[in-house]
Amino acid sequence: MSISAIHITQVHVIFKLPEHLGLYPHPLAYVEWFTSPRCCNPLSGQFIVTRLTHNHWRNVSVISADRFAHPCHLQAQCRRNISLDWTSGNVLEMATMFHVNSYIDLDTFVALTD
Amino acid sequence: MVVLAKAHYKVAKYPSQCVSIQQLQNDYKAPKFLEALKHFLNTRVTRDQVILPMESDQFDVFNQLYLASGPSVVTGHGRSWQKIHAKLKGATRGCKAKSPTRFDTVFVWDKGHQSGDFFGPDGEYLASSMR
Repeated sequence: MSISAIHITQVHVIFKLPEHLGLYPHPLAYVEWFTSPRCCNPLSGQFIVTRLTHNHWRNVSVISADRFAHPCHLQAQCRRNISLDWTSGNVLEMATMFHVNSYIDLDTFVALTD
Repeated sequence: MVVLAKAHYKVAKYPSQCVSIQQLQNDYKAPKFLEALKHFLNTRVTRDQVILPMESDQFDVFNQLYLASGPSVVTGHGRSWQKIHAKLKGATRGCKAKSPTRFDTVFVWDKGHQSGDFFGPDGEYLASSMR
C-alpha cells in the first residue's frame, strides 16, 4: 500500500441511507476533498494540501464510511503573523493551505514518511 | 452501539432522527448534498433500478463514527476506538458542557483499497478524530 492510495477529506455528514432509497451495508458520508498529499514542504518535510475545487466550488462526494482509514490532523499554514480571525472552530474554513501533521502519532509518522 | 460489516468501525444504535435536506445543506454546510447523493446512487453498479432522493426526504444522521485503532504498526500494542465527528454544536444540558460544531478531517482509502497495511497490520484500520 502506498500513499497514492489515500486521500484527505473533511466529513460534514455521516448518515444512514433511508430504506426507500435502497439497502446499503455501511453508513454514508458527505465529504469535502483536499488535494492528494504529494508535495512536501522542504523545511518541515510535511505534506502540503489545499481544498480541491472545480469552478470555484469545493469538490464534494458521498462515499461509503468503510473507506475511512485514519484520522488526519491538518495544520493551517500561516505567515509570520497568524490572523486573529482564526479559531480552532473556523481555521479549516479560513485557511487556504494546510500541512498534514505527521507528528500527531507514531503510526501516522511511519506511514507518511516511508 | 452496533458493530457493522468488518467491524473496523461502529456507529450509534440510534442516530439523530429525520434531518431534512435543507437542514443538511444549511446547518451541516453540505450545500450539494442532494446532488452528491444522487451521483453516488447512480454510480452503484449492483442496483438494477435506482430510486433517487428528493428535496422532501429526511435522513438519520450520526454525530460521530468510531474507528478501530491498533495495534500499533510500530509498538504492536494498543487497541482503541477513536471518533470521527460530524456534528453541530450542542447546548449545555445538565452537567454536560456545550460542545462546538465539529467536522473532522480523515484519511480515506482510494476505491478498491479499503484493506491494507498502510496504517495498520493485518488489514486492520487505525483511526482517531481530531481537527
